[in-house]
Amino acid sequence: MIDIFMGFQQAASFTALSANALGVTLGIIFGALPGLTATMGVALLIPLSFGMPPVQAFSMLLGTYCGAIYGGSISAILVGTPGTVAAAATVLEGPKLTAKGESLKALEMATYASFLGGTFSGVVLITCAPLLASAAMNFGSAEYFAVAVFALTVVGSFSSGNMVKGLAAAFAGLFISTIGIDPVSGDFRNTFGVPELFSGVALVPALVGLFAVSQVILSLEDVFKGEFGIVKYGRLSRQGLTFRELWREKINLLRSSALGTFIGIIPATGASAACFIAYGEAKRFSKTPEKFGTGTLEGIAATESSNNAVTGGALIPMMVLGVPGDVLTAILLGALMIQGLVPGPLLFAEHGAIVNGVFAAFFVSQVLMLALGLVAIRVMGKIVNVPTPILLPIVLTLCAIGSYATNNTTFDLWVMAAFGLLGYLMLKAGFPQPPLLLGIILGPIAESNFRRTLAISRNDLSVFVTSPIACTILVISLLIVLKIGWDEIRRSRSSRQ
Amino acid sequence: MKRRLFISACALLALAMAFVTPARQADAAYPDRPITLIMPFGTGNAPDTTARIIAEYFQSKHGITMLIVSKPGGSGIPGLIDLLKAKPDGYTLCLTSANALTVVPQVKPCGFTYKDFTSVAQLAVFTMGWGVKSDSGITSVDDLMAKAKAHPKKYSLGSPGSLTAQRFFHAQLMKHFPDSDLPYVPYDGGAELVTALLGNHISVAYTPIPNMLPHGDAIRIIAVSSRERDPNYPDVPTFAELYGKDLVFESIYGVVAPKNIPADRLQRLEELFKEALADPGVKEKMANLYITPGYLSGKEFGDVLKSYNDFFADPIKQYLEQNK
Repeated sequence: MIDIFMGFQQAASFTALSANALGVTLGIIFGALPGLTATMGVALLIPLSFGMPPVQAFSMLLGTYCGAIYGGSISAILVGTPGTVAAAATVLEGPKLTAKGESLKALEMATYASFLGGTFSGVVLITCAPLLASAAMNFGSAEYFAVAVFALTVVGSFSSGNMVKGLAAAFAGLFISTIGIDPVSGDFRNTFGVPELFSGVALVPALVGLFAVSQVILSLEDVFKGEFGIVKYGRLSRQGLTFRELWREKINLLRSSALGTFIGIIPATGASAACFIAYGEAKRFSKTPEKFGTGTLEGIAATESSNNAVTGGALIPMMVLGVPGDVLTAILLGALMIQGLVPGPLLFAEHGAIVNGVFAAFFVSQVLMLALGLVAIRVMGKIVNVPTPILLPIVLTLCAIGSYATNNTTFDLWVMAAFGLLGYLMLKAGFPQPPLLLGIILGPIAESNFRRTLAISRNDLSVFVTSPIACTILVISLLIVLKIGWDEIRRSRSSRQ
Repeated sequence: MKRRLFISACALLALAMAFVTPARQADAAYPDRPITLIMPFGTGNAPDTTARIIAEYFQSKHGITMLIVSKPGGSGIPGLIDLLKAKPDGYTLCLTSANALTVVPQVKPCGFTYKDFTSVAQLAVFTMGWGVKSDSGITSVDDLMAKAKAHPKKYSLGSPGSLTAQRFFHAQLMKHFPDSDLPYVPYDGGAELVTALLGNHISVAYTPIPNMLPHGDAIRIIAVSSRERDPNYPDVPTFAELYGKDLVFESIYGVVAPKNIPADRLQRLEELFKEALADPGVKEKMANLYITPGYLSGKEFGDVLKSYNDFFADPIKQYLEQNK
């Protein structure tokens, strides 16, 4: 414990602190702009970090990482465009709150939830990292498949009352996820000979099209109806979050942070899955689940605390085992190695001071994120004052830039446009959009791990039962599906009477 | 108020644009504007970091900006298709692998072969090795193959990628052991694969050894598929020593440019990359990532590509016939 205070001495030095603040600021901007991702922000800063001492370099990189995951919520809440994939679930509640004139409340909830989620995962990181990291090694392909299936049950909570349409959307998403190179045989599937589809449908343009462009098209309807110039996105709010409102979500915040940390620890799932799972669980445990989707602070507390908790969780296997859970931690791992530090158990023994400095820098990032975030939302919150006819083209331009910037290909602009149209049609026909996105995100995780498991077991399905972890998760998923089915039957019976 | 907001919104847009649009200026001495380097393997892995280390050197030493444009996925095909369309003016390059240039186009016609590009420089060669858990009891390739024969359905080999040269290398090697049960299981990346190996979910990992080196004694390398033994593991035999000299496969990375790039610009680029890879600072950073610079001139790199292409021609033909 003394060691971590020594770490704070390094992480709170002037140079480390300013590097951290620079990282957080850049992170928030990158996060808030759709398509400029946390990964790009951190990758851009890597060459800059070469010349810095380790703790200072990591202050900057971790600041960017945490800032970007948080920043995604700002645009999600204010203009209904998730700035990062991690904020995709925040779009389900944020814009509705903005429309109600409660944007400041929503933004403050997102900021506090992000801070609390990140801090929670940081505490887990410094207290039980080695223990959890070795437990995470028990996760193989069978267990990843089970986690993906569990995450897919969340489709149920997005589709209640409309199960057929929800499932249709989810299956459409799963189909879209099969486009590209077959993960096992290497064959090309459903690409129709289009080279741009060889790597599959890119996630960011699909996400931005589905949630943001579709909304823009919907707003265009008003323009054609002659309701030109009305501020549709919401009113400027001055009413902040009260402590009581935050305290009411204590269990929710704790559960979502724990879920996020857990999902961060097991490699290869990530923040996008975490926020949907936390959202689904928050709704399942909520006293007022019917309010979800109409603009509730509960949903934002769940999604934002969970996706920021992923950051600390993902650092656990990276620091302890040298195993990166996602692209971003892989970059951080590279940065660590360029500094001449090899992650793993020896790192803690040989460079304890640096490790503690890095851990402390993570906490400093959380505090800076809270402080800078509270400033940023007051500035950016004014966006809702911009009249729709000016705001819509800006949103659309940002969407286009973001879609293009991810892979630098014009094809992705077509993907964005196609998903925008699809999203619009889904809105008009009453199909829920989140199941489609869940299918696209989780399809590849579920498929490649399922087939990998079978390749290792020589097509013997019993491995899913003999692995205790996979079996437990699959049984829980099955029970949830049965419960959803039962609720649905009861509902249709009662509505018939 | 509204006006100010509008202006700040425009400024924000301009800022966002700055991240994606390189500045254009009139031509003078080459290179007088940023060089775009297409990076088809995703952000943050060894080739990407190598590119960033070199870019930093170009910037600080020569004031040359090299923009690294990430275009991941599709086995590296989309990135090379972009290069195919680029002007042969020396301002668009691609850092790619021998695998993407020679093996992928043979398996799947994708509009180019390695002959459609001008090779600029080879940058690095990664030794590929077979790693097992040290506590697995596997001592050598022969031992592994004997165990895989005695206990079918127990052992599997994991490797990153489903459409890669190592898959064909594995197929070639298994011809020596027709009775051993050791299927090829593709993983998404080297790091994920090493995690699976450490967690006992896979018995052998076939990946560049820089992925395994950080884990020290936990992983034992039983053989390497390079031409020569790896200096990090002088005691580990090569497959060529063990089972025949044609069993060689190395993961080779280099830079290519569009065909018909002016000879003087090609020469300048060769000089720049050669100088960067000889720089002690660059070498040290690469060494920290366990990457050994392996500079070869454009012509030499072209020869390497040709022999690589020819080596895999037969196994790929056989594979395609079997999978018709």
